[in-house]
Amino acid sequence: MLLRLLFPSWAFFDRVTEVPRLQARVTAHDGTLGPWHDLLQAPPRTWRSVLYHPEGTTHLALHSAVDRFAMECTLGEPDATSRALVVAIVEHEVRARFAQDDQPAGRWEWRIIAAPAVPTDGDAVRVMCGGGLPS
Amino acid sequence: MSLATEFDTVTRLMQALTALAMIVVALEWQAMQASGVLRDVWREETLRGWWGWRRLLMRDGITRAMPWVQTSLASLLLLAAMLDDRRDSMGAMAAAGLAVSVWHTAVRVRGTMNGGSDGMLFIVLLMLALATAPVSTRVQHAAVVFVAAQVLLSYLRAGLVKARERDWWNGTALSAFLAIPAYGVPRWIPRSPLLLRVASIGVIAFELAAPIALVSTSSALMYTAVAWCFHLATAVVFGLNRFVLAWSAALPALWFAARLLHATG
Repeated sequence: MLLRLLFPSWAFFDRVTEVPRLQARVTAHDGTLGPWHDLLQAPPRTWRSVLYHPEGTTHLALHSAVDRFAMECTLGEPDATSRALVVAIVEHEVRARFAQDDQPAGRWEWRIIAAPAVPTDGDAVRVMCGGGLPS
Repeated sequence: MSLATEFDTVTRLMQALTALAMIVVALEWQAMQASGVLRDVWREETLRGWWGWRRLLMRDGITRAMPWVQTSLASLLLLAAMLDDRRDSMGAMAAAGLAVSVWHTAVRVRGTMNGGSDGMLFIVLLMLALATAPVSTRVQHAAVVFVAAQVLLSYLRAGLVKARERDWWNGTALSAFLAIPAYGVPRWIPRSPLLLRVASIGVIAFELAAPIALVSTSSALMYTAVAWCFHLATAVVFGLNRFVLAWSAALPALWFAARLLHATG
């Protein structure tokens, strides 16, 4: 970590590749599968956000954890700690996103898909990794 | 003005800007803890194994206290930048303490909070500690030059990797980055292909032109002004606020590196 901080890679915005997107869906008691929802929506910004944006910083830190696990899945070396962090993110996001909704009590599933930065209707979704959550 | 006076002015400016950046970092860290996301996601039981020996430093009490520690140290650093008498090592100690706090946060969340900006802040803090410590003038100057080298490298490397990609030259890459949902780019940002192409070429040219900053102190000042506008634009478009703060603190080092090169060359 010390070396990574002292000698960062500095390769910002280099190449357009597929973007990992974290999604979740609910399975109702009758077994009906709900639609996949994108988690980690970018928080709204104001002019203040140019200098002070705690929601944005948190959002980027969460994305970094998802990107890291997606990369590990792509390399075929998923790390248990990385996975546990992603599961915790899903639980946190699901609770925050659907707290006010009248969702049926069921099981949640999550997945990370590789999506083009500019999606079109014909794009095939490539699932990078996924799992379930306790109901 | 003598080199010693100029060095003093540059390090004071860097201290003040870094202190302000760290106050923002502390406020954001405090807000993040208050939101509950740290407790919910980066759980101690999940990360304990990865922390290893560092878990002693990751205790809840230490993490909770970190924003207050950072604010106090940043205030001391700001004070050190304004004090006439610089014989004591208060500024150096404050900068070193703040560097440790940046490392602590990175370990606590098992990565960076805001990409490369964490790295740049860490570098500036560590080098400021060295530049204002009671060591030889040569070592003090080298510390500021190291910051300048990292700033140059950050632009050059980013420029080179973009220049290799055809999609960057025709504007497609920038268009795609603007569309990535994670950045939440505001809808009012114009996206006409011609504008994006011109902006893309402008970014590559700006980043590859970084060595121009070393030609003279005037060119360093001009490049710094353009760089600051660039980071401000990045913050507005992509929401990368900490990059403005971190690079604002680092950019004065470019001027000193140009001055040093001019003085010795």
